[in-house]
Amino acid sequence: MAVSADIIDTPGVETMQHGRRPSWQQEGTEPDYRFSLANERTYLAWIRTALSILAGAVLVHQFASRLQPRGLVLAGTVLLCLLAAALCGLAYFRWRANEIAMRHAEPLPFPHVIPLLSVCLLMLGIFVGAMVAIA
Amino acid sequence: MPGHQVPPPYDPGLQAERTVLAWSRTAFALLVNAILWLRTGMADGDRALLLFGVALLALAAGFHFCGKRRGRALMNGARPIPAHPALMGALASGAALACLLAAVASACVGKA
Repeated sequence: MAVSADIIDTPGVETMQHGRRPSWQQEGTEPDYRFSLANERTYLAWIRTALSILAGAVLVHQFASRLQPRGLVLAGTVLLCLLAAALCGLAYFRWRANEIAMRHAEPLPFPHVIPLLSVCLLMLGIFVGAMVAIA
Repeated sequence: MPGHQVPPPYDPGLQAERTVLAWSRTAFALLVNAILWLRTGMADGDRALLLFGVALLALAAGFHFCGKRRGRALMNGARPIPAHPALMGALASGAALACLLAAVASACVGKA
């Protein structure tokens, strides 16, 4: 592709919009802009996933007032918020790991967070289903 | 630099546009959360929750502003293309902090 030739990074270049970058973002060669932007959108999608889980937690906390016992509902809400916080952190580290792998033309790291999230949400679904069935 | 015109790169995949839209979707997701907490704060008459809702609104505005700036830079053909790690780290930590505060808030509020 013709575009990729002039996308090669020039280390040490500083502009007003972009301050000094860490060394890991100056090693290797800058990936094709499509891959960089896809990585950025993936990061944003993970943040949105976390925010949707957070909104779900708030909705359970506010509107599932007839679900008993209340203590268990609150514990579930807190766990959902913590899961959302973990996903926000993982979003950043995954973006960084992908960026590093792409700069060195290595395979992208395996997304361990995907099975983790699936298992968490599956357990939560079973848990809430059981609570609703009992109540 | 305003007024410094660079022709946009050839972009048949509309990469810049899709990235800007992803940023604004994320800002909207934060806005929804902010509204939920503002509603909770108003319903319970709790100042701390209202303040938290306002902080989330500010974070949503931050995401929106960053997305707009990013879009302008991309469409003007700014180099280098990858986002600044400080920006990505700051926004992710902001969102993570909001989730942790929400955990604390939901543990403390509405025990009855």
